[in-house]
Amino acid sequence: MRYLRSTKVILGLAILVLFVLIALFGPLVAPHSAHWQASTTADTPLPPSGRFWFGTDVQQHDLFSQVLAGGRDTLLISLLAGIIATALSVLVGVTAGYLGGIVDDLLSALTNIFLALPGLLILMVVLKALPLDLTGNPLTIGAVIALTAWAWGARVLRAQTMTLRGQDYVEAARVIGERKPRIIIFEIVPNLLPILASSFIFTVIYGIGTYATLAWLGLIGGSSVTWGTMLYNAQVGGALISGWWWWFIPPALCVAAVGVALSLLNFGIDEIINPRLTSARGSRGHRVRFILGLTPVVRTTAAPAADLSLDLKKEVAQ
Amino acid sequence: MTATTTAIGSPVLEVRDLCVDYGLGDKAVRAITDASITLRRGEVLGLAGESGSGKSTLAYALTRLLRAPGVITGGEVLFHPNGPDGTAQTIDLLAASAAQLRRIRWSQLAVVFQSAMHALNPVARIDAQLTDSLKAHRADMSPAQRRERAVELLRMVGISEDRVRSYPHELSGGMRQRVMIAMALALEPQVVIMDEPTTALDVVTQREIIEELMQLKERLGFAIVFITHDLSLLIELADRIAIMYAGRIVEQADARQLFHAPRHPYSLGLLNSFPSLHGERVRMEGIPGSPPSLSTLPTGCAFHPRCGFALDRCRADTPVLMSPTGEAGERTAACWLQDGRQDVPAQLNLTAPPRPTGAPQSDGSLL
Repeated sequence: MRYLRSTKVILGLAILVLFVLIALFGPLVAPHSAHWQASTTADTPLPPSGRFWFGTDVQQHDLFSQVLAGGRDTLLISLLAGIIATALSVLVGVTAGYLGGIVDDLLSALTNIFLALPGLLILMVVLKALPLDLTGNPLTIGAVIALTAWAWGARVLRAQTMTLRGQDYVEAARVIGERKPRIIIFEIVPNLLPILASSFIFTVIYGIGTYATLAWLGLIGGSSVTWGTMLYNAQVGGALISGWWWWFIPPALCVAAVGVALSLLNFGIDEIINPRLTSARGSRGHRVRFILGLTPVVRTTAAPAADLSLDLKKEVAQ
Repeated sequence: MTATTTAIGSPVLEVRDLCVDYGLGDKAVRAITDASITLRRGEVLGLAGESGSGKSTLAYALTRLLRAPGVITGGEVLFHPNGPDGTAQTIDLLAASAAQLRRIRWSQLAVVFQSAMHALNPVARIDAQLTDSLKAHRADMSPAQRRERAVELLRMVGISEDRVRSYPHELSGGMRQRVMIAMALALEPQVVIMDEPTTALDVVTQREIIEELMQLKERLGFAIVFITHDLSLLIELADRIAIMYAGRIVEQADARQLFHAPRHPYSLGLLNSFPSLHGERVRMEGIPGSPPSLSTLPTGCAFHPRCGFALDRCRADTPVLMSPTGEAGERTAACWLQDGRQDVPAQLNLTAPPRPTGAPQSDGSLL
């Protein structure tokens, strides 16, 4: 596991694993269900206490249980959005870059249109047009978010594919008569993996942010509780005005923490793509700065063997 | 350091026990171990060895140009350029600051890199690239003087004047390599380090460039460290040759002596790897096996697994450079066969024929 040397990767992975565990098992270990109410008569949120760790909201829902339950849909939707958007960007970007000509013109035009469209606005229009039960379905929401997220990746992949297409090994494959799909899958896509990986991670981060935004705007139907809908409820319930911070801070921090974890992982991917980054930084405990054109001189204490050979040499010289 | 003179033959670059690692701490791999070379004024010192033997690493390290993760871990590199008043200075390159190095580089110590022709900026004309260094180091020159100097430099390497406004893509590979050599000589450096300057070129172009280079060297009096894996080329042009293997210098000798009478089995192997144009036909032998990985070097002498003469001692102890059996003088070899405790195999105990009287040292007549 040589990629686990970097502190950033370890920290990012740790946070991410924690939230994946919450997403998987959170609803099971939560003290109450997300819709459980402590009381049906009281209407003042309770601050965090031993009984309700994160306090309660206006309707006396246990917020700790809601935070634990809210991760599942958020992570699922952003993951789906990342997968669908990456698949779309490979399909459009690599096809356009490899085939060129009129296909490239059409697909590039399509990509540019989606790049120019204001993403959030399109999402709002699409979600408003969908029936309410569909907007509660994670797969639908993931697909809709992916719709606005694929274009940037497609452009980058197209450019890289065009560069790779001129490489000797790709031209050699064409000359010996490999079929186009085989060339694309075996010669080109493996070379795109670094870009794919980081673009996938960025899309997932975008997905989390976008989903939270959509939920906060109240555009997500269904009855599922997520971090986004918690923020929406806090906003509607006047938590900001009344200073009920325990209502909106935990879900907001969760969204931010997942984003940070994914960004940290991206640093790790950078180091895998470009091993010079790791080696140039030096391992921990060695404070050596590498400057181009000024090779560092680190005099290690001479080992006994080295001393011996020096003495020998002097003897020989005499 | 004793005071040095600026006469021809006095040392201009001294490398002592240089050690270079790639990486830091326990993951470090030692690429150069205790390398010592001395370059004298007006001399051509050849560095030869297989790929991965550390030739280029040595050249990059002594100029402090080695990239990360390269680290110099020991030794010293002393540079003795002629000062402005004609006396020799001594500069410790390993202790020099970035500003000091910037002053020395190019003006006194120039490097021509491997496939240097790709270092030309494709969107700038070659005269602009040639005069850049003049602008930086010779601030008192007028634009007209610089232009004149650019033309002169190109003429020096055999490129006609009308090429001065060309872009690099308008020149052939050989011409671009010549431009790079001209560029390295623009400020009349005292030492030029050439890392396989002609490897990418065909033999005819290679010969032309080498001949020009030797003429320039005679005229301008600079010293050259010439790195190549082409030992036959080196024997023609070098005064002295150092052979490297697995990060160590294993033999250092006068080019004639090395060619006619190698003392290290590895040098012998290298010499047996290329055919001679004259004399009887002999079967090419080459060297069995392949160079060792620097991270898992064999114990003792790094060459012993491939060496036909290996003794028991070679497996245990690492030999150091010493004068071979029965010889005084400057040549050294790092081989236990030469320590005087046993008879030296006949192939490693030849004597070089006496130098033909009056012939210069490197006139190409050796082959």
